Amino acid sequence: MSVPVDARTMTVTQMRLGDHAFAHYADDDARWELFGAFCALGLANGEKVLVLADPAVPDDEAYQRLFPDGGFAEQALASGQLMFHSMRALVHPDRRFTAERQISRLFEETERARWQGYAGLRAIIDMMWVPEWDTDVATVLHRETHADALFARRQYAELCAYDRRVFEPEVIEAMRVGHPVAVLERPGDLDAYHSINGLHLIGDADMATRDQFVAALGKGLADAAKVGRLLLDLSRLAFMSAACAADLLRLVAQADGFERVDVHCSYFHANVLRRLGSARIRRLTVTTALERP
Amino acid sequence: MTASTGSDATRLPLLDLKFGAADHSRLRLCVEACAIRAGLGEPHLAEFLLAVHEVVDNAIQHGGGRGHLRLRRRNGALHCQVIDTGPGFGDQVAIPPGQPDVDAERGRGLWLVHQLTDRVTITTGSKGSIVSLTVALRDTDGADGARCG
Repeated sequence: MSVPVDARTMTVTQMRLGDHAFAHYADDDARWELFGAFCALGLANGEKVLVLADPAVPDDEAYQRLFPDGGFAEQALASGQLMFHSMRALVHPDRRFTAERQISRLFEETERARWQGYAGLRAIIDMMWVPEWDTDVATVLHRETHADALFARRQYAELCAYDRRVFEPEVIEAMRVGHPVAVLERPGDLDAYHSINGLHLIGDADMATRDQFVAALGKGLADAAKVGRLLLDLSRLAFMSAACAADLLRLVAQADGFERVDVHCSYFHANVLRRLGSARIRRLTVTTALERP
Repeated sequence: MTASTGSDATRLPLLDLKFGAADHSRLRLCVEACAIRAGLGEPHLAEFLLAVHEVVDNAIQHGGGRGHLRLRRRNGALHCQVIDTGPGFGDQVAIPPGQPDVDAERGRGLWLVHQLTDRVTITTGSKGSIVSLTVALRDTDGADGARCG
């Protein structure tokens, strides 16, 4: 099954404290790559990182899969910046899951992280604890849609990862819609969606995704040719190589019949486009999006 | 996997990784995490990541399909070396003096690298090329010298 992409979708590397994100995977390499990116950037940014991995995976194995290149994670583990927990240990001494107990404990852990001098807490929760506990999916969905207070102070971020091989497609979709943010399956992925506002590109545009980037732009321009105007929303593009930036400029310059193409992007990407000659294309207007805190 | 502290931290690389064509995203993440830990903040972080990407891309496309990346923090700056075993830059070694044309086939990446970093050096030899990039660390608050990988 494919998981839809929409206005809530971003790449995992763009997550910040305050984000509550849905993630999904259907193979183990994708799972650990996604989790590893989330953890590595949290540690680098001075946040405490809490890993609630699949209960079937021992902590040692989870550590090896998260940090195959080793490095500063070893120091983070020793200092307590990186912690492994189980859902059972988190809600102890309760013996069954309740949203109230779990949220209360995560509040406590966030407070503790702040008191210890970290910028905040980011938690990764592999939702494989749900079938292991035989917990009602409706209870979990209720928790996911009523946890706003946990994120309000922007001191806590959470990635809730669902295995598409285990959860039914309708559960996956309900969870995706139930989270304020959804992340692309793997770091480095690129995806696109069309809205009435224009074409939105999300993720990384580099050598691996260049063909996809060019195809999406080409289709976006072709679809908008009748009205002669297009908004290209690149505000959730985490990375854009020089070759992809040049492809964008070339395609816009060569598009027939366009009165105006508006690119909405980060300050940095606007600067790259400017350096590569965006000002020479009269129909192109580049405006900068508000940066995420 | 080794964590280093004290004086070793300035001698050992923060990152020492081999890469191939499939490693762009993984490499970018490793460099990003290490650069943040070394104290590189925005907008210089995004500039550095793009510059490193362009050099790695060049090594993959024209330098034998694979290479070796080393990242060091020394004397208030981040230094990145990308080593490949390809035929070398040849005529490409000349960085275009001005903004490349939108339709330019080549040279755009290297020109951008030059724009986005404080110093670029390219050494070519019979065994391949070494491209070295340097960016100054403007704000080193909270930086640490532990190895990243």
